[in-house]
Amino acid sequence: MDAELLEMFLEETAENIQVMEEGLLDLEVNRDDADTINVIFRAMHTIKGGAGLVGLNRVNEITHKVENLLDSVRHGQISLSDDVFKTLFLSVDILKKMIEETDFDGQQVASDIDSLFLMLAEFSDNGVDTAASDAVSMDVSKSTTVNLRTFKISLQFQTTILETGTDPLMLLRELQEVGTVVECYCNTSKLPQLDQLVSHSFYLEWTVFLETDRPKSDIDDIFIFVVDDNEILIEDITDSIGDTFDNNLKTGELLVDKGLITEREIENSLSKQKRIGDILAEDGKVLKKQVEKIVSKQEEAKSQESSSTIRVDTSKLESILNNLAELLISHSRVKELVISNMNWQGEKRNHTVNREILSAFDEVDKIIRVVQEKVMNTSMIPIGGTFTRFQRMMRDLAKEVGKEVKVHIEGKETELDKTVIEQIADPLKHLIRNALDHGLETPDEREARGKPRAGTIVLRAFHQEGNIVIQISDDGKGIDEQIIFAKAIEKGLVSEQEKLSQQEMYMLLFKPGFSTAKQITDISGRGVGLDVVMTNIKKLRGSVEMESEIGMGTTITIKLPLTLAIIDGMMVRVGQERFIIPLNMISEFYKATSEHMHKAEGKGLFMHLRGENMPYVSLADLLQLQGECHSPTDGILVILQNNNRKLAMMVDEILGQEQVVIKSLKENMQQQIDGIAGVTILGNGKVAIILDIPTIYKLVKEAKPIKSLA
Amino acid sequence: MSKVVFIVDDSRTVRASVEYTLKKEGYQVEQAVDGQDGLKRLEELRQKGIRPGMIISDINMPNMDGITFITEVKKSMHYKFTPVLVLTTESQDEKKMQGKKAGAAGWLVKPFSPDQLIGVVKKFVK
Repeated sequence: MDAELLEMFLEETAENIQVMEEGLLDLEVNRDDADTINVIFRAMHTIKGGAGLVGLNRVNEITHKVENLLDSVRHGQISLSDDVFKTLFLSVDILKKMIEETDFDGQQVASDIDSLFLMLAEFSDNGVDTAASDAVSMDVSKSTTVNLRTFKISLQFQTTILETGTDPLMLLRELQEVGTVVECYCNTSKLPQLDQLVSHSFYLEWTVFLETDRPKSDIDDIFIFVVDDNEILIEDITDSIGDTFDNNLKTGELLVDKGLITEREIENSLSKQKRIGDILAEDGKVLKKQVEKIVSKQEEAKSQESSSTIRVDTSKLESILNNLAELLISHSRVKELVISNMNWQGEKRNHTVNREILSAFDEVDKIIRVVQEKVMNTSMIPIGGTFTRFQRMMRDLAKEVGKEVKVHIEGKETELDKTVIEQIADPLKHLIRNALDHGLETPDEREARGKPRAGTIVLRAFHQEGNIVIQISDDGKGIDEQIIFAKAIEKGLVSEQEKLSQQEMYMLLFKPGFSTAKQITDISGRGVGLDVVMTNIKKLRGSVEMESEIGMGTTITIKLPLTLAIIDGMMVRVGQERFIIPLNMISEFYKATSEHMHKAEGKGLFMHLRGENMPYVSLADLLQLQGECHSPTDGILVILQNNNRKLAMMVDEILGQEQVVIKSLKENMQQQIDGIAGVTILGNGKVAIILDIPTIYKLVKEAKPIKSLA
Repeated sequence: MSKVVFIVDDSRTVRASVEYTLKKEGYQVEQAVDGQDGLKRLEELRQKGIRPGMIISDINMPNMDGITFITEVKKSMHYKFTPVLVLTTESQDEKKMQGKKAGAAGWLVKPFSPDQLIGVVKKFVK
């Protein structure tokens, strides 16, 4: 230690101790004199700093602890009690003795120091040990000998770095001191034109490959002051060095890797590049037309490859869709309020402004729908993948049961909601197995009937009126609906007296506990399954239809909505209540006259429309509500169509088309109620019931009112 | 680059130890006792044609604290590009960041060894 320096410290510390002592005496009289506290603190602080410099560790330790107490006092965390004064005076006495007696280790005052520390500990339990981290932080770690490692150091400085006084060149030179610079590249692409160059701005970026036996922390230390505000990246590339210096990389990749240019710069330059076809055409080697033709084919092929994609959690998309749906609701609520306000204003209303408001509403509505469609589109995937899986499955199954099958797939590019695809896969699988197991005959049977030995199963998907239609057709033996009917009677599912249409008889297949297979195979025919298929499809708000011809084959048609959460509906009114009828269930509206209406013995009214008879029901009667219209000719008839069956349903008024978000009742009520598909919240904040048309048919047939609404 | 280092600290011991250490390395050391004195001394030096290659400043000082001093120094066109080092016993990041915000290029935590001081000074002035 330098004696001169120590001498200076002792002299200075003696002064500071005196400052502290005087300050403490002053403070004892004026306890809230913040300035005095600061003076004392600073004196202690200076002693502490100096003690560290001259290596008086014991003094440093004591002052550090006292400083903590003073800091707490300064920040009002500890109030200036007599105990505090006692402690501070004791610390001053100890320091004074140590300095005066040059007893730097405090051996003569050891017991005093112990009691001081005890007293301080009492306070620090209450206060905050603010200077705890005050230890030596610039710990120059001794580099242990390690193997040579290679580091890739990328340096991107802020353009303003020179203003801090930091010279990047110094940092580069320092790098040289810790190891061998293997390669060094400077990216000058950010340098502007000379006339735009700001002399004190910094434009260069470096990539340095450094080989060293020193630890990474030594390199980190070089950049300790700049790492917060600049892009400094230090990577240990020892293990992947082969990749970095892989000369098989494209020129551009190598340049990017070495930090000479950025990927964007490559893209910019490449966009200026002439295509080989153009060069050849210019040289007269080929005709420009030929080139264009080939290029357009090439582009077509490329467009079929998926462009850049990201994976998004479907729940995120769902949440966006839900929010959009809420937005739609809020939007129509605002719209309704504004319109009712307009009406209320009566004569005062300004027609031009009103028109504009309405058109603005329409515009917003349109945009929301577009966004909705786009978001929905993101979760749509082609059904092709699922179909292909089934194709494979059928091939394997056919072998298993000794049948031959050709599978045709149509419309595999048809897109539908990923969730729908996931949920429809199992029902489809079941139906396909059925087609193979029950539908198709064995090759010998087929040959005997003059059919090709291999049966054909067609999987078809297409869009139809806002629905997705999936069809499974086979050219097998077909289904005799009379056998189904007989079986259903036997099972007690229907009574013999019931008169069912062909379609209704087919649908008996989908009732729980129905199975016509003579032999229970592994594949199907357990008597469970088709009802599950039906349940699953209904869950997706879909429907099933079946067509069959004996000896010719069977086609099962599944109709699914495009999306699960939102439907296009028609809002109708009965009395004070509003209902939503899914648009795809409505074939037309009709204002009937008495000529259209006929009475059937014991069956109530039916409607005769253009040569077709259909049952009639008043929605008010069905729901046991107080409607305004009582006779079929009073109200409006909604002609519903489901599975080729029609139903004329009277409502009081048609209110208009609306896109609504289905809120499932099932989630809240534990059970599905016949006649009700769900509810939605209207613009006015009220709840409207979405009618479930297929079950309405059932209710009409059973002439049962909806219980829960009664 | 100027091999003059300007140290601002209210502790004589610190100033002396900085001077002692850096002189051995061939630097010229100029001193000031607080922020206010620092600004005055810088102006005196400038009139004599001496511009420090680096300024080292304590934070906790009477009259004018280090943060104010650095802020003032960085406002001046003469010292805009001069590296300033914050010298303090307070190693809390908060203080360091205050210093950096004011325009400091780095920091040094007291107590420091002569080697540490030289190492840091050499980062900026060679």
